[in-house]
Amino acid sequence: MSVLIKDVDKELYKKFKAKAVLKGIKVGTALSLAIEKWLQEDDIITDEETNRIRNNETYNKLLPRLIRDNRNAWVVISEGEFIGVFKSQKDAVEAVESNNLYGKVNIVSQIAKEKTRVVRFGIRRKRKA
Amino acid sequence: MIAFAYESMDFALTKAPFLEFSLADPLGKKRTNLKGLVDTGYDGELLLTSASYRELDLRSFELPVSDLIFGETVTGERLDIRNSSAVLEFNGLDVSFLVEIDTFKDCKEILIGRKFLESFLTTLNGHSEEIGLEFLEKE
Repeated sequence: MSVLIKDVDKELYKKFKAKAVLKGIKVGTALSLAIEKWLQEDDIITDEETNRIRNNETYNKLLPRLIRDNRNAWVVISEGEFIGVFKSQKDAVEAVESNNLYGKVNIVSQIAKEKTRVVRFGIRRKRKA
Repeated sequence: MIAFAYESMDFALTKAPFLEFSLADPLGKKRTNLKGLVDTGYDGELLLTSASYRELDLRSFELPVSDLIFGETVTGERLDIRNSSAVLEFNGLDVSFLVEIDTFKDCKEILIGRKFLESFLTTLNGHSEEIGLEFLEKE
């Protein structure tokens, strides 16, 4: 189909078109491939964020009991599931390996009450390009 | 002591102190060599690009997300921060540092902040454009 797309970055489009020409494919075909990849990437990010939300829900639900029974120990939670409590950070990290959790979205955290932390960033000056 | 020369940043008006280091996930499965800007305006340990965070699979070692932890720029803009842990090493220094990583969506800079520098006597020599780090062992 034919579409008219506004506000496309000029330099970016030039590079995109050049790459399509180098690969010997039409710009329209290249754009379809790029759109497909972008749609897939968005799904991956969504799955990761979903697991992150589940981990935090589990952590917050368990926190009162964990603080009461295991303060300052380390907890591992993976994709919403409680994995275990460990004496040290080293043990908790090793549990990620031994439970085949590497590459998954996990919480590996010392059990402690929430504390406020504001991360502050500075400023730098730059010339306009 | 280890020392690094200042470097030019894209379009910046002055050269800046950068540190070169290797960073690995806590299990040591993935490692990458990086360069970070020393920024004493940043109060954390290590701010990492979202790309490097992903490359090292640091999502496998995250700290809990909290509404009480957020980033704030000098203009007061708020950012949702994601935290994890990683192991940092310098060439020429026989010590590994387990650092708390900050990142946020589409973060494109690597910053080394004041909390990390607490372990060092840091010398910023503007005349020779060099930064020196002397590791201070805890008593």
